[in-house]
Amino acid sequence: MADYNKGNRKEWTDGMWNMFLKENRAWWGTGKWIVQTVLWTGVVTGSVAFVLYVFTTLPVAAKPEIYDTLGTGAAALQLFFNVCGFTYVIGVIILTHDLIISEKESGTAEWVLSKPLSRKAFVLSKLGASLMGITLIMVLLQGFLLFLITWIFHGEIGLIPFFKGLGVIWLICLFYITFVIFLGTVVKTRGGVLGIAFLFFLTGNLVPLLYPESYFIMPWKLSKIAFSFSVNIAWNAKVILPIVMTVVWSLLFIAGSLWRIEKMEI
Amino acid sequence: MTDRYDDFAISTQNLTKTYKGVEALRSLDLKVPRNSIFGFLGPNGAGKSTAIKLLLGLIKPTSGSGSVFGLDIVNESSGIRQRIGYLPQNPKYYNYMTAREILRFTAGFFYNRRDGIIERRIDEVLELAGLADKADRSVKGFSGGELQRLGIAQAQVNSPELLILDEPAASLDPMGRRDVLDVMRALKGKTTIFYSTHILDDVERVSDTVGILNRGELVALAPIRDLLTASHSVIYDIVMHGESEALESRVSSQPWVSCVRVVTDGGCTRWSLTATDEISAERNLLRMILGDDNIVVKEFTRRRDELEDVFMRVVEGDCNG
Repeated sequence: MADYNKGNRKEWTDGMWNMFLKENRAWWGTGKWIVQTVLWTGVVTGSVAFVLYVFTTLPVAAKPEIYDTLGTGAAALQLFFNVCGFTYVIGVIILTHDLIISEKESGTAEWVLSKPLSRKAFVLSKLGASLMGITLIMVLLQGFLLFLITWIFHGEIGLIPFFKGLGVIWLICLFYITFVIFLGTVVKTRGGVLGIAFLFFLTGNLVPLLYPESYFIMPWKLSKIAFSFSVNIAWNAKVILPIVMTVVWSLLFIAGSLWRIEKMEI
Repeated sequence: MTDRYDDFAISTQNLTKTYKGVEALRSLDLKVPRNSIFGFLGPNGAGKSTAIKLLLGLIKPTSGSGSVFGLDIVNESSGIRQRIGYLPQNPKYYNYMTAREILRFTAGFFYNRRDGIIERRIDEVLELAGLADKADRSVKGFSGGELQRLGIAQAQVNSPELLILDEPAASLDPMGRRDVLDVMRALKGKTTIFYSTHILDDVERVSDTVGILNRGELVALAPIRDLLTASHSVIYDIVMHGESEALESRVSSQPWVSCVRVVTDGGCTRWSLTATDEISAERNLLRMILGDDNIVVKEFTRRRDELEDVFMRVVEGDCNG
Protein backbone atom coordinates (compact mmCIF):
# COMPACT_ATOMS: atom_id res chain seq x y z
CA MET A 1 0.00 0.00 0.00
CA ALA A 2 1.37 3.38 -0.93
CA ASP A 3 2.53 5.73 1.79
CA TYR A 4 1.49 8.84 -0.10
CA ASN A 5 -0.70 11.57 1.22
CA LYS A 6 -4.32 10.53 1.19
CA GLY A 7 -5.69 13.36 3.25
CA ASN A 8 -8.61 15.48 2.19
CA ARG A 9 -7.57 18.00 -0.42
CA LYS A 10 -9.13 20.83 -2.33
CA GLU A 11 -9.84 19.11 -5.58
CA TRP A 12 -9.37 22.03 -7.97
CA THR A 13 -5.78 22.59 -6.87
CA ASP A 14 -4.84 18.89 -7.09
CA GLY A 15 -1.56 18.47 -8.94
CA MET A 16 -1.25 22.18 -9.77
CA TRP A 17 2.21 22.76 -8.28
CA ASN A 18 3.65 19.62 -9.91
CA MET A 19 2.17 20.56 -13.28
CA PHE A 20 3.36 24.16 -12.91
CA LEU A 21 6.92 22.94 -12.24
CA LYS A 22 6.73 20.78 -15.35
CA GLU A 23 5.46 23.67 -17.47
CA ASN A 24 8.27 25.85 -16.15
CA ARG A 25 10.73 23.10 -16.97
CA ALA A 26 9.52 23.34 -20.59
CA TRP A 27 10.44 27.05 -20.54
CA TRP A 28 13.59 27.16 -18.44
CA GLY A 29 14.92 23.60 -18.54
CA THR A 30 15.14 23.44 -22.31
CA GLY A 31 16.63 25.80 -24.88
CA LYS A 32 13.30 27.59 -25.21
CA TRP A 33 14.25 30.52 -22.97
CA ILE A 34 17.49 31.09 -24.91
CA VAL A 35 15.67 31.10 -28.24
CA GLN A 36 12.99 33.45 -26.97
CA THR A 37 15.51 35.79 -25.34
CA VAL A 38 17.61 36.04 -28.50
CA LEU A 39 14.56 36.40 -30.71
CA TRP A 40 12.85 39.18 -28.75
CA THR A 41 16.06 41.02 -27.98
CA GLY A 42 16.76 41.06 -31.70
CA VAL A 43 13.23 41.97 -32.77
CA VAL A 44 12.41 44.59 -30.13
CA THR A 45 15.56 45.98 -28.55
CA GLY A 46 17.62 45.40 -31.66
CA SER A 47 15.24 47.25 -33.95
CA VAL A 48 14.85 50.17 -31.49
CA ALA A 49 18.66 50.41 -31.11
CA PHE A 50 19.11 50.31 -34.88
CA VAL A 51 16.59 53.10 -35.47
CA LEU A 52 18.09 55.23 -32.67
CA TYR A 53 21.48 54.76 -34.24
CA VAL A 54 20.16 55.81 -37.65
CA PHE A 55 18.59 58.92 -36.05
CA THR A 56 21.98 59.96 -34.69
CA THR A 57 23.42 59.89 -38.21
CA LEU A 58 20.62 61.99 -39.73
CA PRO A 59 20.90 65.77 -40.17
CA VAL A 60 18.65 67.68 -37.73
CA ALA A 61 16.14 68.65 -40.44
CA ALA A 62 15.61 65.02 -41.42
CA LYS A 63 14.92 63.74 -37.90
CA PRO A 64 11.31 62.84 -36.96
CA GLU A 65 9.32 65.48 -35.10
CA ILE A 66 9.10 63.47 -31.88
CA TYR A 67 12.88 63.24 -31.75
CA ASP A 68 13.06 66.97 -31.88
CA THR A 69 10.23 67.91 -29.53
CA LEU A 70 10.29 65.18 -26.86
CA GLY A 71 13.86 63.91 -27.23
CA THR A 72 15.61 60.59 -27.68
CA GLY A 73 13.85 58.91 -24.76
CA ALA A 74 10.34 59.52 -26.13
CA ALA A 75 11.40 58.46 -29.62
CA ALA A 76 12.75 55.22 -28.16
CA LEU A 77 9.57 54.67 -26.17
CA GLN A 78 7.32 55.24 -29.16
CA LEU A 79 9.32 52.82 -31.25
CA PHE A 80 9.43 50.28 -28.43
CA PHE A 81 5.70 50.29 -27.74
CA ASN A 82 4.79 50.23 -31.43
CA VAL A 83 7.04 47.25 -32.09
CA CYS A 84 5.85 45.45 -28.94
CA GLY A 85 2.17 46.08 -29.69
CA PHE A 86 2.50 44.40 -33.05
CA THR A 87 5.11 41.66 -32.62
CA TYR A 88 4.14 40.50 -29.13
CA VAL A 89 0.63 39.64 -30.25
CA ILE A 90 2.04 37.47 -33.03
CA GLY A 91 4.59 35.96 -30.67
CA VAL A 92 2.11 35.20 -27.91
CA ILE A 93 -0.34 33.59 -30.34
CA ILE A 94 2.38 31.36 -31.79
CA LEU A 95 3.84 30.48 -28.40
CA THR A 96 0.56 29.53 -26.77
CA HIS A 97 -1.70 28.28 -29.57
CA ASP A 98 -0.95 24.59 -28.98
CA LEU A 99 -0.70 24.54 -25.19
CA ILE A 100 -3.94 22.57 -24.88
CA ILE A 101 -4.34 21.15 -28.38
CA SER A 102 -0.89 19.55 -28.57
CA GLU A 103 -1.61 17.67 -25.34
CA LYS A 104 -4.94 16.48 -26.71
CA GLU A 105 -3.50 15.48 -30.08
CA SER A 106 -0.38 13.74 -28.77
CA GLY A 107 -2.22 11.81 -26.06
CA THR A 108 -0.25 13.31 -23.16
CA ALA A 109 -3.47 14.90 -21.87
CA GLU A 110 -4.98 11.43 -21.45
CA TRP A 111 -1.92 10.38 -19.50
CA VAL A 112 -1.53 13.37 -17.15
CA LEU A 113 -5.25 13.70 -16.52
CA SER A 114 -5.34 10.06 -15.42
CA LYS A 115 -3.21 11.23 -12.46
CA PRO A 116 -4.58 13.19 -9.51
CA LEU A 117 -4.43 16.43 -11.48
CA SER A 118 -7.56 18.55 -11.66
CA ARG A 119 -8.47 19.91 -15.06
CA LYS A 120 -8.57 23.45 -13.68
CA ALA A 121 -5.02 22.98 -12.38
CA PHE A 122 -4.01 21.67 -15.82
CA VAL A 123 -5.13 24.92 -17.47
CA LEU A 124 -4.01 27.30 -14.72
CA SER A 125 -0.50 25.83 -14.55
CA LYS A 126 -0.11 26.32 -18.30
CA LEU A 127 -1.44 29.85 -18.06
CA GLY A 128 0.82 30.65 -15.09
CA ALA A 129 4.02 29.26 -16.63
CA SER A 130 3.41 30.93 -20.01
CA LEU A 131 2.58 34.22 -18.37
CA MET A 132 5.73 34.00 -16.28
CA GLY A 133 7.98 33.20 -19.25
CA ILE A 134 6.47 35.91 -21.41
CA THR A 135 6.53 38.48 -18.59
CA LEU A 136 10.18 37.86 -17.77
CA ILE A 137 11.57 37.58 -21.30
CA MET A 138 9.28 39.76 -23.39
CA VAL A 139 8.17 42.42 -20.93
CA LEU A 140 10.70 42.89 -18.14
CA LEU A 141 13.94 41.94 -19.92
CA GLN A 142 13.12 43.96 -23.03
CA GLY A 143 12.02 46.87 -20.82
CA PHE A 144 15.34 46.76 -19.01
CA LEU A 145 17.28 46.57 -22.28
CA LEU A 146 15.35 49.52 -23.67
CA PHE A 147 16.27 51.48 -20.59
CA LEU A 148 19.89 50.56 -21.19
CA ILE A 149 20.07 51.49 -24.87
CA THR A 150 18.20 54.74 -24.30
CA TRP A 151 20.85 55.64 -21.72
CA ILE A 152 23.57 54.67 -24.22
CA PHE A 153 22.01 57.05 -26.77
CA HIS A 154 21.80 59.80 -24.10
CA GLY A 155 18.03 59.70 -23.82
CA GLU A 156 15.92 59.97 -20.66
CA ILE A 157 13.03 57.80 -19.53
CA GLY A 158 10.91 58.34 -16.42
CA LEU A 159 11.01 55.06 -14.50
CA ILE A 160 7.46 55.08 -13.06
CA PRO A 161 5.69 56.18 -16.28
CA PHE A 162 7.72 53.61 -18.19
CA PHE A 163 6.59 50.85 -15.84
CA LYS A 164 2.99 51.95 -16.36
CA GLY A 165 3.52 51.58 -20.09
CA LEU A 166 5.12 48.16 -19.59
CA GLY A 167 2.10 47.18 -17.49
CA VAL A 168 -0.17 47.94 -20.43
CA ILE A 169 2.02 45.85 -22.73
CA TRP A 170 1.78 43.06 -20.16
CA LEU A 171 -2.02 43.39 -20.36
CA ILE A 172 -1.89 42.89 -24.13
CA CYS A 173 0.08 39.68 -23.54
CA LEU A 174 -2.35 38.55 -20.82
CA PHE A 175 -5.32 39.16 -23.09
CA TYR A 176 -3.91 37.11 -25.97
CA ILE A 177 -2.61 34.28 -23.74
CA THR A 178 -6.01 33.83 -22.11
CA PHE A 179 -7.81 34.26 -25.43
CA VAL A 180 -5.68 31.64 -27.18
CA ILE A 181 -5.91 29.18 -24.25
CA PHE A 182 -9.67 29.61 -24.29
CA LEU A 183 -9.71 28.92 -28.03
CA GLY A 184 -7.65 25.78 -27.35
CA THR A 185 -10.45 24.45 -25.16
CA VAL A 186 -13.12 25.26 -27.75
CA VAL A 187 -11.55 24.63 -31.16
CA LYS A 188 -10.26 21.19 -32.11
CA THR A 189 -7.38 22.07 -34.44
CA ARG A 190 -4.22 24.18 -34.24
CA GLY A 191 -5.17 25.84 -37.54
CA GLY A 192 -8.51 26.83 -36.06
CA VAL A 193 -6.90 28.44 -33.01
CA LEU A 194 -4.29 30.28 -35.08
CA GLY A 195 -6.84 31.36 -37.68
CA ILE A 196 -9.32 32.80 -35.19
CA ALA A 197 -6.63 34.51 -33.08
CA PHE A 198 -4.93 36.15 -36.06
CA LEU A 199 -8.27 37.10 -37.60
CA PHE A 200 -9.19 38.86 -34.37
CA PHE A 201 -5.83 40.66 -34.31
CA LEU A 202 -6.09 41.78 -37.92
CA THR A 203 -9.71 42.82 -37.41
CA GLY A 204 -8.33 45.32 -34.92
CA ASN A 205 -7.12 47.38 -37.85
CA LEU A 206 -10.43 47.30 -39.73
CA VAL A 207 -13.37 47.22 -37.33
CA PRO A 208 -12.47 50.50 -35.58
CA LEU A 209 -12.69 52.23 -38.95
CA LEU A 210 -16.37 51.28 -39.08
CA TYR A 211 -17.08 51.33 -35.34
CA PRO A 212 -14.68 53.69 -33.53
CA GLU A 213 -16.35 52.78 -30.20
CA SER A 214 -14.82 49.32 -30.48
CA TYR A 215 -11.52 50.83 -29.32
CA PHE A 216 -13.05 51.24 -25.88
CA ILE A 217 -13.97 47.60 -25.37
CA MET A 218 -11.09 45.86 -27.17
CA PRO A 219 -7.31 45.87 -26.65
CA TRP A 220 -6.57 47.12 -30.17
CA LYS A 221 -5.19 50.50 -29.16
CA LEU A 222 -3.35 49.50 -26.01
CA SER A 223 0.13 49.95 -27.46
CA LYS A 224 -0.67 53.63 -28.09
CA ILE A 225 -2.04 53.91 -24.56
CA ALA A 226 1.17 52.31 -23.26
CA PHE A 227 3.19 55.02 -24.99
CA SER A 228 0.88 57.73 -23.57
CA PHE A 229 1.46 56.39 -20.06
CA SER A 230 5.20 56.22 -20.55
CA VAL A 231 5.42 59.89 -21.47
CA ASN A 232 3.09 60.88 -18.65
CA ILE A 233 -0.04 61.78 -20.58
CA ALA A 234 -2.91 62.26 -18.12
CA TRP A 235 -5.38 59.48 -17.32
CA ASN A 236 -8.88 59.83 -18.74
CA ALA A 237 -11.84 57.65 -19.56
CA LYS A 238 -10.62 57.06 -23.11
CA VAL A 239 -7.47 55.50 -21.69
CA ILE A 240 -8.94 53.69 -18.69
CA LEU A 241 -11.89 51.96 -20.35
CA PRO A 242 -9.88 49.79 -22.81
CA ILE A 243 -7.59 48.78 -19.93
CA VAL A 244 -10.50 47.80 -17.68
CA MET A 245 -12.20 45.96 -20.55
CA THR A 246 -9.01 44.07 -21.38
CA VAL A 247 -8.80 42.88 -17.77
CA VAL A 248 -12.48 41.90 -17.87
CA TRP A 249 -12.05 40.00 -21.15
CA SER A 250 -9.00 38.19 -19.79
CA LEU A 251 -10.90 37.10 -16.68
CA LEU A 252 -13.80 35.96 -18.83
CA PHE A 253 -11.47 33.92 -21.03
CA ILE A 254 -9.92 32.28 -17.96
CA ALA A 255 -13.36 31.47 -16.58
CA GLY A 256 -14.44 30.17 -20.00
CA SER A 257 -11.34 27.98 -20.29
CA LEU A 258 -11.92 26.47 -16.84
CA TRP A 259 -15.55 25.78 -17.68
CA ARG A 260 -14.74 24.27 -21.08
CA ILE A 261 -11.92 22.04 -19.85
CA GLU A 262 -14.28 20.39 -17.36
CA LYS A 263 -16.63 19.52 -20.22
CA MET A 264 -13.88 18.25 -22.50
CA GLU A 265 -13.82 14.56 -23.36
CA ILE A 266 -10.24 13.33 -23.47
CA MET B 1 -9.86 9.82 2.17
CA THR B 2 -13.11 7.92 2.39
CA ASP B 3 -13.03 4.25 1.62
CA ARG B 4 -16.49 2.81 1.39
CA TYR B 5 -15.34 -0.74 1.55
CA ASP B 6 -16.98 -3.39 -0.52
CA ASP B 7 -15.63 -6.55 -2.10
CA PHE B 8 -15.23 -4.97 -5.48
CA ALA B 9 -12.47 -2.72 -6.71
CA ILE B 10 -14.65 -1.70 -9.66
CA SER B 11 -18.40 -1.78 -9.82
CA THR B 12 -20.62 -0.33 -12.55
CA GLN B 13 -24.37 -0.25 -13.00
CA ASN B 14 -25.95 0.31 -16.41
CA LEU B 15 -22.95 2.39 -17.42
CA THR B 16 -23.65 3.78 -20.87
CA LYS B 17 -21.75 6.10 -23.18
CA THR B 18 -23.22 7.47 -26.37
CA TYR B 19 -21.35 9.48 -29.00
CA LYS B 20 -23.64 11.37 -31.39
CA GLY B 21 -26.39 8.78 -31.06
CA VAL B 22 -24.05 5.77 -31.31
CA GLU B 23 -23.78 3.65 -28.17
CA ALA B 24 -20.09 2.97 -27.58
CA LEU B 25 -20.92 1.28 -24.29
CA ARG B 26 -24.32 -0.16 -23.44
CA SER B 27 -25.55 -0.74 -19.87
CA LEU B 28 -22.29 -2.13 -18.56
CA ASP B 29 -22.72 -4.05 -15.29
CA LEU B 30 -19.26 -4.92 -14.15
CA LYS B 31 -17.92 -6.26 -10.86
CA VAL B 32 -14.18 -6.61 -10.48
CA PRO B 33 -13.17 -8.35 -7.23
CA ARG B 34 -10.39 -6.80 -5.16
CA ASN B 35 -6.92 -8.24 -5.73
CA SER B 36 -8.02 -10.11 -8.84
CA ILE B 37 -6.45 -9.98 -12.28
CA PHE B 38 -9.33 -9.11 -14.54
CA GLY B 39 -8.96 -9.61 -18.28
CA PHE B 40 -11.21 -7.29 -20.26
CA LEU B 41 -11.60 -8.79 -23.71
CA GLY B 42 -13.25 -7.71 -26.88
CA PRO B 43 -12.58 -7.08 -30.55
CA ASN B 44 -11.39 -3.66 -31.71
CA GLY B 45 -14.09 -1.05 -31.22
CA ALA B 46 -15.95 -3.15 -28.66
CA GLY B 47 -15.87 -0.31 -26.12
CA LYS B 48 -13.00 -1.43 -23.86
CA SER B 49 -11.11 1.88 -23.97
CA THR B 50 -14.38 3.79 -23.52
CA ALA B 51 -15.08 1.81 -20.36
CA ILE B 52 -11.58 2.48 -19.05
CA LYS B 53 -11.82 6.21 -19.77
CA LEU B 54 -15.14 6.32 -17.92
CA LEU B 55 -13.54 4.70 -14.88
CA LEU B 56 -10.73 7.27 -14.98
CA GLY B 57 -13.09 10.24 -15.33
CA LEU B 58 -11.59 11.21 -18.70
CA ILE B 59 -15.07 11.07 -20.20
CA LYS B 60 -18.46 11.27 -18.54
CA PRO B 61 -21.18 8.64 -18.76
CA THR B 62 -24.34 9.36 -20.72
CA SER B 63 -26.26 7.34 -18.13
CA GLY B 64 -25.67 4.80 -15.39
CA SER B 65 -23.12 4.92 -12.63
CA GLY B 66 -19.90 3.40 -11.47
CA SER B 67 -17.53 3.33 -8.56
CA VAL B 68 -13.91 2.46 -7.88
CA PHE B 69 -13.18 1.46 -4.28
CA GLY B 70 -16.64 2.79 -3.49
CA LEU B 71 -15.82 6.25 -4.90
CA ASP B 72 -18.12 7.64 -7.56
CA ILE B 73 -16.46 7.85 -10.99
CA VAL B 74 -18.05 11.22 -11.79
CA ASN B 75 -17.93 13.14 -8.53
CA GLU B 76 -14.91 11.61 -6.81
CA SER B 77 -12.64 11.09 -9.75
CA SER B 78 -9.61 12.79 -8.21
CA GLY B 79 -9.80 10.51 -5.17
CA ILE B 80 -9.96 7.50 -7.48
CA ARG B 81 -6.96 8.65 -9.50
CA GLN B 82 -4.96 8.94 -6.27
CA ARG B 83 -5.22 5.20 -5.85
CA ILE B 84 -4.76 3.83 -9.33
CA GLY B 85 -2.04 3.49 -11.93
CA TYR B 86 -2.98 3.71 -15.60
CA LEU B 87 -1.18 2.66 -18.73
CA PRO B 88 -2.83 4.13 -21.86
CA GLN B 89 -3.08 2.07 -25.04
CA ASN B 90 -0.49 4.16 -26.90
CA PRO B 91 1.43 5.88 -24.13
CA LYS B 92 2.85 9.28 -25.07
CA TYR B 93 5.19 11.39 -22.94
CA TYR B 94 6.92 14.76 -23.09
CA ASN B 95 9.77 14.20 -25.53
CA TYR B 96 12.19 16.61 -23.88
CA MET B 97 12.23 14.54 -20.67
CA THR B 98 14.28 11.49 -19.77
CA ALA B 99 12.67 8.33 -18.41
CA ARG B 100 13.72 9.32 -14.89
CA GLU B 101 12.22 12.79 -15.30
CA ILE B 102 8.96 11.31 -16.56
CA LEU B 103 8.79 9.12 -13.48
CA ARG B 104 9.74 12.02 -11.18
CA PHE B 105 7.00 14.13 -12.74
CA THR B 106 4.47 11.29 -12.35
CA ALA B 107 5.50 10.63 -8.75
CA GLY B 108 5.14 14.35 -8.01
CA PHE B 109 1.36 13.92 -8.27
CA PHE B 110 1.36 11.39 -5.45
CA TYR B 111 4.19 12.11 -3.06
CA ASN B 112 5.50 15.15 -1.29
CA ARG B 113 8.72 16.13 -3.09
CA ARG B 114 10.53 16.74 0.20
CA ASP B 115 9.88 13.28 1.64
CA GLY B 116 12.62 11.51 -0.31
CA ILE B 117 10.25 8.69 -1.27
CA ILE B 118 10.20 9.72 -4.91
CA GLU B 119 13.79 8.82 -5.83
CA ARG B 120 13.51 5.48 -4.04
CA ARG B 121 10.30 4.59 -5.88
CA ILE B 122 11.77 5.69 -9.20
CA ASP B 123 14.72 3.34 -8.78
CA GLU B 124 12.39 0.49 -7.81
CA VAL B 125 10.08 0.85 -10.78
CA LEU B 126 12.95 1.41 -13.23
CA GLU B 127 14.41 -1.89 -12.07
CA LEU B 128 11.03 -3.59 -12.26
CA ALA B 129 10.44 -2.40 -15.83
CA GLY B 130 13.98 -3.24 -16.92
CA LEU B 131 14.79 0.38 -17.74
CA ALA B 132 17.50 1.08 -15.16
CA ASP B 133 20.21 1.40 -17.82
CA LYS B 134 18.09 3.76 -19.94
CA ALA B 135 16.85 5.94 -17.09
CA ASP B 136 18.72 9.06 -18.14
CA ARG B 137 18.06 8.82 -21.86
CA SER B 138 15.55 11.15 -23.50
CA VAL B 139 12.31 9.30 -24.24
CA LYS B 140 12.39 10.82 -27.74
CA GLY B 141 14.63 7.96 -28.88
CA PHE B 142 12.72 5.18 -27.12
CA SER B 143 11.35 2.26 -29.16
CA GLY B 144 7.70 1.23 -28.87
CA GLY B 145 8.65 -1.53 -26.44
CA GLU B 146 10.70 0.81 -24.25
CA LEU B 147 7.84 3.30 -24.15
CA GLN B 148 5.52 0.50 -23.08
CA ARG B 149 7.92 -0.50 -20.31
CA LEU B 150 8.12 3.12 -19.20
CA GLY B 151 4.33 3.14 -19.24
CA ILE B 152 4.24 0.18 -16.92
CA ALA B 153 6.84 1.82 -14.67
CA GLN B 154 4.95 5.12 -14.39
CA ALA B 155 1.68 3.28 -13.73
CA GLN B 156 3.27 1.65 -10.70
CA VAL B 157 5.20 4.57 -9.29
CA ASN B 158 2.52 5.23 -6.63
CA SER B 159 2.20 1.54 -5.65
CA PRO B 160 -1.44 1.66 -6.76
CA GLU B 161 -4.22 -0.41 -5.30
CA LEU B 162 -5.64 -0.78 -8.80
CA LEU B 163 -3.64 -1.01 -11.99
CA ILE B 164 -5.55 -0.29 -15.19
CA LEU B 165 -3.67 -1.37 -18.29
CA ASP B 166 -5.05 -0.75 -21.76
CA GLU B 167 -3.51 -3.32 -24.12
CA PRO B 168 -0.27 -3.58 -22.10
CA ALA B 169 1.43 -6.12 -24.36
CA ALA B 170 0.19 -4.89 -27.73
CA SER B 171 3.44 -3.34 -28.94
CA LEU B 172 5.88 -5.64 -27.18
CA ASP B 173 8.06 -8.42 -28.60
CA PRO B 174 7.64 -11.92 -27.11
CA MET B 175 10.23 -11.23 -24.40
CA GLY B 176 8.61 -7.94 -23.49
CA ARG B 177 5.24 -9.71 -23.32
CA ARG B 178 6.68 -12.32 -21.03
CA ASP B 179 8.11 -9.58 -18.77
CA VAL B 180 4.75 -7.82 -18.58
CA LEU B 181 3.05 -11.06 -17.61
CA ASP B 182 5.75 -11.66 -14.99
CA VAL B 183 5.11 -8.23 -13.50
CA MET B 184 1.39 -8.98 -13.40
CA ARG B 185 1.99 -12.35 -11.76
CA ALA B 186 4.28 -10.71 -9.18
CA LEU B 187 1.50 -8.30 -8.22
CA LYS B 188 -1.13 -11.04 -7.98
CA GLY B 189 -2.91 -10.95 -4.66
CA LYS B 190 -1.45 -7.55 -3.73
CA THR B 191 -2.99 -5.27 -6.33
CA THR B 192 -6.11 -5.42 -8.45
CA ILE B 193 -5.19 -5.49 -12.13
CA PHE B 194 -7.78 -4.57 -14.72
CA TYR B 195 -6.43 -4.91 -18.20
CA SER B 196 -7.82 -4.92 -21.69
CA THR B 197 -6.31 -7.08 -24.35
CA HIS B 198 -6.98 -9.11 -27.42
CA ILE B 199 -4.09 -11.53 -26.77
CA LEU B 200 -6.10 -14.43 -25.43
CA ASP B 201 -3.08 -16.58 -24.55
CA ASP B 202 -1.97 -13.95 -22.03
CA VAL B 203 -5.41 -13.79 -20.47
CA GLU B 204 -5.52 -17.53 -20.01
CA ARG B 205 -2.09 -17.47 -18.36
CA VAL B 206 -2.60 -14.77 -15.74
CA SER B 207 -6.25 -13.79 -15.31
CA ASP B 208 -8.63 -14.93 -12.61
CA THR B 209 -11.74 -13.37 -14.07
CA VAL B 210 -12.71 -12.42 -17.57
CA GLY B 211 -15.24 -10.02 -19.05
CA ILE B 212 -15.95 -10.10 -22.76
CA LEU B 213 -17.28 -6.99 -24.42
CA ASN B 214 -18.81 -6.97 -27.87
CA ARG B 215 -20.29 -3.97 -29.64
CA GLY B 216 -20.48 -2.06 -26.39
CA GLU B 217 -22.22 -4.85 -24.52
CA LEU B 218 -20.86 -7.17 -21.87
CA VAL B 219 -21.57 -10.64 -23.24
CA ALA B 220 -19.70 -12.75 -20.69
CA LEU B 221 -18.42 -12.20 -17.17
CA ALA B 222 -17.08 -15.09 -15.12
CA PRO B 223 -14.02 -16.57 -13.47
CA ILE B 224 -11.92 -17.98 -16.27
CA ARG B 225 -12.16 -21.54 -14.94
CA ASP B 226 -15.97 -21.40 -14.93
CA LEU B 227 -15.99 -20.01 -18.42
CA LEU B 228 -13.86 -22.85 -19.74
CA THR B 229 -15.66 -25.66 -17.93
CA ALA B 230 -19.19 -24.37 -18.45
CA SER B 231 -19.48 -25.41 -22.06
CA HIS B 232 -18.32 -29.07 -21.75
CA SER B 233 -17.46 -28.78 -25.41
CA VAL B 234 -14.70 -30.62 -27.20
CA ILE B 235 -12.87 -29.12 -30.13
CA TYR B 236 -11.50 -31.14 -33.05
CA ASP B 237 -8.94 -29.45 -35.28
CA ILE B 238 -8.75 -31.14 -38.66
CA VAL B 239 -6.52 -30.22 -41.58
CA MET B 240 -7.37 -31.75 -44.96
CA HIS B 241 -6.84 -31.55 -48.71
CA GLY B 242 -9.55 -31.85 -51.34
CA GLU B 243 -13.18 -30.91 -51.91
CA SER B 244 -14.67 -30.64 -48.45
CA GLU B 245 -17.86 -28.57 -48.93
CA ALA B 246 -20.23 -31.54 -49.15
CA LEU B 247 -18.57 -33.22 -46.19
CA GLU B 248 -18.79 -30.01 -44.18
CA SER B 249 -22.51 -29.69 -44.73
CA ARG B 250 -23.02 -33.37 -43.79
CA VAL B 251 -20.98 -33.04 -40.61
CA SER B 252 -22.51 -29.70 -39.63
CA SER B 253 -25.99 -31.20 -39.74
CA GLN B 254 -25.14 -33.78 -37.06
CA PRO B 255 -26.94 -33.10 -33.77
CA TRP B 256 -23.70 -33.39 -31.76
CA VAL B 257 -21.94 -30.66 -33.77
CA SER B 258 -22.53 -27.10 -32.62
CA CYS B 259 -20.09 -25.29 -34.85
CA VAL B 260 -17.64 -25.83 -37.70
CA ARG B 261 -15.29 -22.94 -38.43
CA VAL B 262 -13.53 -23.29 -41.75
CA VAL B 263 -10.31 -21.60 -42.81
CA THR B 264 -8.77 -22.26 -46.22
CA ASP B 265 -5.07 -21.68 -46.50
CA GLY B 266 -2.67 -22.65 -49.30
CA GLY B 267 -4.73 -25.52 -50.66
CA CYS B 268 -5.45 -26.88 -47.20
CA THR B 269 -8.75 -26.61 -45.40
CA ARG B 270 -8.65 -26.28 -41.65
CA TRP B 271 -11.73 -27.12 -39.60
CA SER B 272 -12.25 -26.22 -36.02
CA LEU B 273 -15.23 -28.32 -35.02
CA THR B 274 -17.03 -27.90 -31.72
CA ALA B 275 -18.84 -31.02 -30.50
CA THR B 276 -21.40 -30.90 -27.71
CA ASP B 277 -21.60 -34.68 -27.28
CA GLU B 278 -18.15 -36.13 -26.88
CA ILE B 279 -19.14 -39.79 -27.14
CA SER B 280 -21.07 -39.35 -30.38
CA ALA B 281 -18.22 -37.30 -31.81
CA GLU B 282 -15.63 -39.95 -30.90
CA ARG B 283 -17.75 -42.65 -32.47
CA ASN B 284 -18.73 -40.92 -35.72
CA LEU B 285 -16.57 -37.96 -36.66
CA LEU B 286 -13.39 -39.58 -37.92
CA ARG B 287 -15.40 -42.34 -39.63
CA MET B 288 -17.45 -39.75 -41.55
CA ILE B 289 -14.36 -37.86 -42.64
CA LEU B 290 -12.35 -40.90 -43.72
CA GLY B 291 -15.41 -42.24 -45.55
CA ASP B 292 -15.24 -39.33 -47.99
CA ASP B 293 -13.00 -40.28 -50.92
CA ASN B 294 -12.60 -36.65 -52.07
CA ILE B 295 -10.43 -35.62 -49.16
CA VAL B 296 -7.12 -36.53 -47.59
CA VAL B 297 -6.71 -35.91 -43.86
CA LYS B 298 -3.36 -34.35 -42.90
CA GLU B 299 -3.97 -33.68 -39.20
CA PHE B 300 -6.58 -34.61 -36.63
CA THR B 301 -6.33 -33.38 -33.05
CA ARG B 302 -8.70 -33.22 -30.14
CA ARG B 303 -8.65 -30.68 -27.36
CA ARG B 304 -10.78 -29.08 -24.68
CA ASP B 305 -12.42 -25.69 -25.10
CA GLU B 306 -9.90 -22.86 -24.91
CA LEU B 307 -10.54 -19.22 -24.17
CA GLU B 308 -10.20 -18.39 -27.85
CA ASP B 309 -13.03 -20.79 -28.68
CA VAL B 310 -15.22 -19.33 -25.97
CA PHE B 311 -14.33 -15.81 -27.13
CA MET B 312 -15.14 -16.56 -30.77
CA ARG B 313 -18.42 -18.19 -29.81
CA VAL B 314 -19.48 -15.34 -27.58
CA VAL B 315 -18.41 -12.60 -29.95
CA GLU B 316 -19.57 -14.16 -33.21
CA GLY B 317 -22.45 -16.13 -31.74
CA ASP B 318 -23.06 -19.85 -32.23
CA CYS B 319 -22.10 -20.72 -35.77
CA ASN B 320 -23.35 -23.27 -38.18
CA GLY B 321 -20.42 -23.58 -40.41
